[in-house]
Parts: sequence; structure tokens; C-alpha cells
Amino acid sequence: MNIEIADLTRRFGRTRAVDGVNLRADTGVLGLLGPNGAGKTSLLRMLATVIPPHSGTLRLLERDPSEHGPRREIRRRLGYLPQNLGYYPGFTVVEFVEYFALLKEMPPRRASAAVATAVERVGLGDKAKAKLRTLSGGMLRRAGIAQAIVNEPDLLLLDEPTAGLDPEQRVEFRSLLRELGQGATVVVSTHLVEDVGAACAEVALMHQGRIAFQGTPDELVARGAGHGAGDAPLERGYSAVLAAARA
Amino acid sequence: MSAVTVPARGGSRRTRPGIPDACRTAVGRLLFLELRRSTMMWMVPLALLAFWLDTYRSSMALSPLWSSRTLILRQGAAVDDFAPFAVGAAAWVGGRDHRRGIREQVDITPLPRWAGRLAAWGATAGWAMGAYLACVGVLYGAIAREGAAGSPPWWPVVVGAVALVACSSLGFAAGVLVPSRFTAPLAAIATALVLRQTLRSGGRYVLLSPVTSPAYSLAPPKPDAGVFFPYLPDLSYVHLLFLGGLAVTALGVLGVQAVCGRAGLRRLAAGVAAAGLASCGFAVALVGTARVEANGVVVPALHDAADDRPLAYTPVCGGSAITVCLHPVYRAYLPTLTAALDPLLREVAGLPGAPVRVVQVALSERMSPLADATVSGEPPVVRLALDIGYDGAMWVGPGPAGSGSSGHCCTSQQMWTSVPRITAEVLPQVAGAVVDHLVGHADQAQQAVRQGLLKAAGVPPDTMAVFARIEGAPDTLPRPGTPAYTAGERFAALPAADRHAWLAAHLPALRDGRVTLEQLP
Repeated sequence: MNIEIADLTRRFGRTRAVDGVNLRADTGVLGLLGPNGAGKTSLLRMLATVIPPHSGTLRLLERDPSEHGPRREIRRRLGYLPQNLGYYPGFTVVEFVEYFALLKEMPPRRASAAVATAVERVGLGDKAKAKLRTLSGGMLRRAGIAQAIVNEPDLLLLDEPTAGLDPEQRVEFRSLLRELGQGATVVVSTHLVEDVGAACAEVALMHQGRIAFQGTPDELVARGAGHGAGDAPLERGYSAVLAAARA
Repeated sequence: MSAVTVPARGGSRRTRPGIPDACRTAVGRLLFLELRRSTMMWMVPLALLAFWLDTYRSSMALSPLWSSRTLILRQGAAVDDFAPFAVGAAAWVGGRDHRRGIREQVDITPLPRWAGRLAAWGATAGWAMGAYLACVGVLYGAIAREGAAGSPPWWPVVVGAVALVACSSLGFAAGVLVPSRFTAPLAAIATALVLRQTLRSGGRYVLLSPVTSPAYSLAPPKPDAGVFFPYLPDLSYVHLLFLGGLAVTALGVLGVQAVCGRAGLRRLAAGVAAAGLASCGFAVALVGTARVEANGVVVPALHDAADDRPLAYTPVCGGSAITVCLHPVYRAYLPTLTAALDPLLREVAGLPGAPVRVVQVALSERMSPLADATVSGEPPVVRLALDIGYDGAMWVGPGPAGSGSSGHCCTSQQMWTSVPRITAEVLPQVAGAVVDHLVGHADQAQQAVRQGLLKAAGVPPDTMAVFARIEGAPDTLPRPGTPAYTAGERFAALPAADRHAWLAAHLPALRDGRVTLEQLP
């Protein structure tokens, strides 16, 4: 299992952002759904080793990230796109992605080819030499995805990756997600249930720091049968699970 | 995005031609990326402009001698030009991860954050250092191209380079620890103010600053350092210990934070910071023992006694009546000096007790006058200290005869290549000492002869009074309208041969006070 979480908790002050989450995931794409403030980003940040949990157990890529050596090995095989992408505006797309490839300790001889591949995969080949300050929001998001996948990670964490992408780019991105999910564990946090339906083999729905549902998209659709809220089957399942959790 | 262009995992092993091997290591490649996008790169033109306006132009106005042309550099002017830019750019780069909201992304990468930070700092320091060394290279090249006499001093260049490394590392650490967008401008302004303050302070511990002032420092750079005595490197050693210590401390602090790597690496960083602090402390202790001597600052624990021995040289000599000898470094100024001194030397040559030679000696005071002459020895020799190094424009004197100027004189080059200017500025000093030695000034007859001789030698009548006022010495020349003044004018009006013959016959008696005013021709 690439992700093994048991009773994981993280507080910010008096707020329990993540409250006793249990989750296991292996190769494939896992969609993380939930309303604002459900704890998706906090969970993703713990998975990315940005912040440590306050309690519970967390194992990533069969290693304990609380120890330095294993954490470093995890980070070497990790890709992470945060909700708010930071970037150096003076760097070009290629330089930005190469910068992260080097920080991820890729051998420089391999890095240049990997960078070219990652940039092509996110469709920024024609903007490879453009400075980041000149890119649109959607292009920046794609540059962020490129830096996350440049090391061909075994664990890829994407927080709202399709924010700012136009419909055509989102379709292409889902295709990329499916492909990445064939060899790695991909966790995608999103509000867009159609992305989950199209690209994810499994879905987890968070509510108030807890996992309210975990199953396949079809199972989530089934939960929505007979529920009125939502235009699409997945949305109805999403609403039904949340309504049940609130009740 | 395309899912159909995925190459095999790991990619091909392409190599880029033209990339040096050093850049193929991860840190080397990081450094290469940082160098291409460093903020300091945009600051370089401003630093170059400051260097050209300040250090370069001031230096090239001085005499074409290595000891003179590097005087401004030895005062730390180049550091003053570059440091605010280096500090500001480094602080800006240091705080960029926070400002750009990228900390979360870079902090979770496996490469120790210390290494990443050092690469970013290295690029900033590299640009600052490269620009500084290029500027100094251009300055040294221009000096060498003009065939400057002497040899180039290297210690000031090294100290300046280490000072810039220290400035950039302190700025970078400030940016990392206080990552506000105001940190960079404030750090740059603070650096400029601190350097300005050390420039205006004269305390012992201010010697630790690489920027000094000839007007305030306990030990301003000597204009003839490395000419008569070896260049004393003691203070440079202390600078390297102190500034290098500051740099190492700041760079060590960058690796102490939890995100910077494993505990062992952070302990190493803490050790590096402690070593840097120890180096600074050692330098402070050393400068506390320093003493200022004629040839520079002596730090007993670092001092090499061999540096106290004068450098051997064969003087270059010229002149007709009495030989005038200069250090070979100042060979170019011998014709001008002998021409300016010739009227005086012809007047006194062959008289009993007259000097047989004029020799140049090292400057003995930290704030030397333009020229200082003493007569001593048997047979008497005029020992002449010349401040050829300082910029004459800074020197306030009576100005050359007929120039109508009584304030700023001229540049050093204009000064030392002009017979009228040396006649105005140097001749009175030499003539005063020589004539005083020959004649004395105790009684009216001596004062009258002294006045007559000075006038005959070409010293303007009011110049001695001006010099006496500047030096705070009593004016021993007779005032106009007095009998002594009239006698002096009469003595000066005699034909040179008659004056010389009378002096040859009566000088011992005159010196002993046995000649009255009425007995003068």
C-alpha cells in the first residue's frame, strides 16, 4: 500500500481539520471530494509531509515519514501540487520544472530529458521558453503539474489541479491522470465531481475532517439514487452522502 | 496536455553541448539556473555605474603609480560602491520563497534546503563578486596600461572580495529570516549607513570595517605603502578573519532551521555558524591589540618582523647644483622636482653647511603634508617626504603662484607634473628648512638674509607666512616697512654671484649672530 492512514488527526488551534481519518490507497487515482473546510487540503499536506499529524499513524510508500531518512526517500518519490502554486516569475517553464527536478535529487543528466517530457505532457511544449510571469493562470497550473510529475513520482498529490483550466484542457488533464494512475498512486483533491467520475477509480468524500464515504464512483452514484439535489448522478451521490453525514 | 507523447520512464540520456561538467552536478546545475535568473544580475549595472563614478574616476585622477592609483581602492571605496547592492539583492533572493508562496513546495524536496539556499546565495554572491573583480580588473588593467610604477597590491582586492561575500551572505540570511518585501531595501540602506558611519569614525574597532577614511581612521591607507617598506598585511589578515567569519556565520545560520535537513546536517550548520562567530571574536580580540605605526597597522600576533625592514632600492638622481634623489617609483617626477628646486639649490650650493644632497624619505605621519623637509646629518642632507599619492584636489593650500587660487589646488597628476605648482607648493617647504638650517632666524640680520634668500630662490614673499599660519608656526620673516625687510629686499636684489660670494664669506658669522643689519650688503 502506498498510503496507509489510521486514525489520523491534525488540529489548527481548537479546530480539528482532520479528525480520525482512516484511508488506504494503492496504485490508481483516488479522488478526494468534500465541501470547503472539510479537511482535504490539510490531509493532502500531511500526505505531502508538509505538516506532521498530531496523532494517528501515517505510512507512505511503506515508510514512516516521521523519521528523517524515510521521509527523504518518500520526498524523492513524491509529487505535490499545492492549492496555491508558488513560482519564480523570472524563471522560464523549463527552468522552473528543472529547478524542482534538481531539488528532487534527479541526476542532472536525466533531469533535462525528464523536464522536456513533463513539459510536453502538460501541453506546454510551445511555451517551454516563456517566463512564468507571462503565462495565464491555466498555463501556470499546468507548469505546476509539470513540476509535480517531473520525477515520475510513485505518489502524486494534486490539490485542485484543474482550477483555471479550460474545458478542453480539463479533458486532456483527465487523460493524463488516468495514465499517471497506471503506475502511481494519485490523490486528487477537487470540487469538480465530473473530474472524479472521468478519471478516478476510487473516491473519498470528506466532511468536517472525517471520511464520510470511500468507494468507487459508481458506488457514489448509487448513493444518490432517489436524491433530488444535483444535476448529474455523481453530484446527487455527493449531496446524498453529505446530507447523511450532516444528519 | 497530451497523453500520447509520454516517453519511456527515465527518459533518454541527452547531453547538452556547451555546458561545463561542473554544471552537471545537481548543485552545480542549480547554481547555473540561479546565476541565469539572479536578481543581482540586474543590480550589476548600477554597481558598475557607482564604481565608475566613485572609485574609477577618483583613482585615475591620481598619479600613475600603483601605490597612488590604488589608494581609493585601499580605502574600501569599491566595497562602498558594491555592498548596498549586494546586500539588497541577496536579501531579496533570500526572502523570495516566502514572498512567492513557494516555501511549501521547496521545503518538501529531498535536497537539503541548506544546499538549495546556498545555491541561490552563491549565484547572488557570484554576480557581485564577478562584477567587483571585473571592475578591479579593468582598473588594474588601465593602471598597468599607463605603465604605472611600482607593483599592484593584491591584499586590498582580496579583502574587498571577502567583504562582498560577507555582505551578500548577511543580506541573504536577513532575507531568509525576515522574509518581508521591505527587508531588501532596508538592508541595503542600513548597509550604506553603517559603511558611511565607519567612514566617519576613528575608533580602534572601526578598523574592522573594510571602508576607512584618511580623515578619520586611526590608520588611513598610506599613499606610499609598499614603496619604501613592504605593504603591511596585518590589518588585511584581521579583515579576512572578521569578514570571513561574518560570512561563515550567516551561511551556517541558513542551515540551522528544521527544514534544512537531518539533525546531523543541522548540527554541522550550527558548528559552521559557531566557527564563524569564533573567527569574528578572534578578529575583534586581535584588533584590540593593534597599534598604529608609521608603515601601517601592526597586529603583534600576526606581524612578520620581515615586513619592518625597508625595501632595498637604488634611487634615481638628477639636478645640477645639488643632487636630488627620488625612489625609482617616482622617477617620472624627478625632472619636474629638480627644475622647481633648482633656483634654491643654486643659491645655496657650495656654501658652508649647505646640504650636499636632497633625498626622498618615506612619509612618517598618517596625515602628511604635501611635502615635508628636514635637514640633518654631516654633511647635511635634505630629507624630503613627498605625499605624491594623495589627490591634490583634496589638499587645501595657497595655490600656485599667479593662479589666483587660494583654495583647492588641482589633481595629483596636475600637481606633480607642473613646475609652477611644485614651485608654489613644495619649494617653500624645502626652502624654509634649508635656509633656516643655513642662516637661522634669531636676529634681524638672519631674518633679513633669510627673506632675501627665499625671494631670490623664487619663493613668493607671502607664501611662507601662509604656510606658517597653516602649520601654526610663528612667522619669522620681517614685516614690510621694517629695516630688516628693507635689508632683505636689498639682499635679494644683489646679483646672484655677489650674494653667493658674500654668504660664502660671512655665513658662519651670520649664523653665530655676529653680523648686524647694517653690515649686510
